[in-house]
Amino acid sequence: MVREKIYTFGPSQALVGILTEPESSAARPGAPVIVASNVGLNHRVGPFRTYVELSRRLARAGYSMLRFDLSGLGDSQQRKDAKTELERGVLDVKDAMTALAERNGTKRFIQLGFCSGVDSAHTVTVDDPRVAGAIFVEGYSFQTKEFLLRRYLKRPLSRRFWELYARRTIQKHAPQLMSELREAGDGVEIYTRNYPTKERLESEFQKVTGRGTNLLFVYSGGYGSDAANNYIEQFGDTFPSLRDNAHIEVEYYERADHTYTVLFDREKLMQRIERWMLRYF
Amino acid sequence: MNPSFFGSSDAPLFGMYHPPAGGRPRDEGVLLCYPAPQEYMRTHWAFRKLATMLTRKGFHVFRFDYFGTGDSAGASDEGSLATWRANVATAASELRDLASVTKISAVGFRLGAAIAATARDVTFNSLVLWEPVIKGAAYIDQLENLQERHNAKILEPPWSGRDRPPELLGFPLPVSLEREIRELDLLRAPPSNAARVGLMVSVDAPPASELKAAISKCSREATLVHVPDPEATGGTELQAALLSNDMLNAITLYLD
Repeated sequence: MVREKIYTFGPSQALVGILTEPESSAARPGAPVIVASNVGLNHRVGPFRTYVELSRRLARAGYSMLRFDLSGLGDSQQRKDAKTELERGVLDVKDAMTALAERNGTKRFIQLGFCSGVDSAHTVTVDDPRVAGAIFVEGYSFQTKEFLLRRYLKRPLSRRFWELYARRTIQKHAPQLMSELREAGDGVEIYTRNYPTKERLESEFQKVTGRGTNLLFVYSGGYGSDAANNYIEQFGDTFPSLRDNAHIEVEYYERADHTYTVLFDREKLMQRIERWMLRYF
Repeated sequence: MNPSFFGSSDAPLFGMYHPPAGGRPRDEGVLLCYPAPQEYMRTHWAFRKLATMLTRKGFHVFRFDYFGTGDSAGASDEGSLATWRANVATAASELRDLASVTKISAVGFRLGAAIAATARDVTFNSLVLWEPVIKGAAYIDQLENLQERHNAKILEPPWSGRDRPPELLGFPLPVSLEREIRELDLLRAPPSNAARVGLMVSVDAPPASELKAAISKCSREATLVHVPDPEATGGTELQAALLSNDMLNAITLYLD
């Protein structure tokens, strides 16, 4: 059994979330609380209700998790004391941590970011030493030589590739159809996000792991489509200095799409997060 | 907005109550019934906006998650049409208590319209069927087509054709739920739980006019409103948000 309660906090209690907690007998004393907010413009339940299922699974394992809507999204009101989307997100996440610290006595936190949700989760992880761990699903990723080799040289050996190639060529000349078929999470969109530089990220990951914060990075291969990742060593090739970092784990699911649409893939993702939590916390 | 859990303590449902925010408060609450579950995520923003628009007209508004969806109790594979119909009656009762109103109306989108239209143990003043699922079998076919379009875009699709596991568009679709949905046919069993029914559709196609005739035959007041809005059903995207100002205005106008 798990317990769930409405959690409102922030300026004028305008931010809305759900805190999922284990039964008292199952709770792990001193364990950090997982904090997760929106994925894109979806509301707090996460893509295909992933955050609801994950929070209940983690509660059964003894952990509490807060899923909430950033200001202006889902059921939360817009806040007026910040300028940019990232600034608002960071303030919202910090307000969530403050509320959990004051009301529940929480001293340590896990940041969970998924796709664009990684932006505020990463910033808070770097800024706040109370963050004991962070899970970045479909987070920052960079093209490497091996990535390009796999995408442009190895894949054309597949017949299916040429079928899709023909399809895309037709779509190129049919803008309306292209628009209809465009999917959130396409590689192009991922690479057009406003990323921090590779050097800055590498330095920040070194900084947070240097103070003992554990990081889990999870990437998908998009069932071979134009995903932002196409091999498990891509993270290590991008950040060579982090390759043997004992505080970093990297997972790669070749057969999963960007939002883990298929139930089997989603189950593997949730199992992986639970295993990581049990290992470190 | 006031969020709360309601219903039985062993399977609480999540609800959001919006009190009147303009005009004179009415003795009427409006229950918003989400589609469930494949189209639910796309609808959240539009439902919040519709709730705000209705509260400005003096209505009390309550939107809620069915069992096994959103923030409500239950795993995603535990929902059934029978349970969701019962949830509608429970939510109507909750709204009546929260707002101290005597009249309850409902707005249902897609499958939510069919659920509200076939809910028992509740009587609506007005019932708005927004792009209703009229025949469940055709609805499943539409979702399967969307899934196939999604699969067609990727190099190694998880399955091909209609040989799929009991899931669709990211959510479980247990055999029992699929059977319930396929058996749904509002033309054979038109809504009998509302004094007046408003059919709001973006495409003026025969099923809607046939449903209007079927409702009228049962001595209910039925109005068919055609709102030619290309965004009314959220397009064909798997996760595209539903943005439909014209439709929301039409619904508000009908209930006002």
